[in-house]
Amino acid sequence: MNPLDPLLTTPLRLGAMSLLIKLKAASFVYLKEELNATQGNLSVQLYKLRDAGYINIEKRFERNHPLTEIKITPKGIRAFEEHVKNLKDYLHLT
Amino acid sequence: MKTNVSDPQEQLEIISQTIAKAKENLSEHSFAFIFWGWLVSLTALFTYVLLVYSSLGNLSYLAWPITTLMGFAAMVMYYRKKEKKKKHQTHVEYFLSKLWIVIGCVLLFFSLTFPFVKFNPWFFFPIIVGIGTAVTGAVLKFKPLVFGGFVLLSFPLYGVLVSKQALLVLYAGVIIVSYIIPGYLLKNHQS
Repeated sequence: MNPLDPLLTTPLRLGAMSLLIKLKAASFVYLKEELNATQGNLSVQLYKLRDAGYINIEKRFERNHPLTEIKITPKGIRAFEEHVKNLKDYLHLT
Repeated sequence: MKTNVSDPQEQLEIISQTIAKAKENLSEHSFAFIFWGWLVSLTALFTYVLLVYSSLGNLSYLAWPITTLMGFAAMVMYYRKKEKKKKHQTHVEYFLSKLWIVIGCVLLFFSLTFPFVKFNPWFFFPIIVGIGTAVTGAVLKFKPLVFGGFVLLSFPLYGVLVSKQALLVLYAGVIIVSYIIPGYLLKNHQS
């Protein structure tokens, strides 16, 4: 049995990845609202995912408003799928 | 919120609960079908009235490029406004937006050129729109739209059975079946 990815065992990071896997892109505000997270905590967790290459964070201005857009990367998709597979292995669901 | 979860069962529950939040909201896709449904069916009936009760003759068909242009302008304004409020985009929304931009450009181009270029719009337009509608229905897994798409796609087959003027009334009816009814069903659909 493979060990679980420690980056994905935190509920907030796991939740963010679970949302992003279903979306083409999400704003920081959307993730904050859906995950009931504080701005500071979510920022810290997202930067950890970005540093691991699991997500891309792009900051830009759209119609004079700052927008932080987050997308999952191919590496992030693979890591998430592997994590789900490992979880199922642990529970003998596969 | 806990800082770490070691229980695999609990982790799977977090994943399934969170993924459910990002589920596609089908009713968001209904506006375009309702809007174009009413616009196209009313334009078809209006053109029929002009053809039958006025002396405009073939000039009556100019109602089509005029209302199409107005429709496109209204759609651009609507989606720009919606885009401002949007905080996320699903893969389905992304795919459908690109699909309909391409279809919209093709339709707009031919709407503007059809008074000058010789081709049969009753063959061309329903097929193009039918493809978009059927694909949208298939992607959203919404059968009334798939059915509507095929009703449009097969329009050239049964359209040959009626007269040129009656085609307009028939087309208005087809649009009610393929756009307006599925549009309202989509609007009231509980995801």
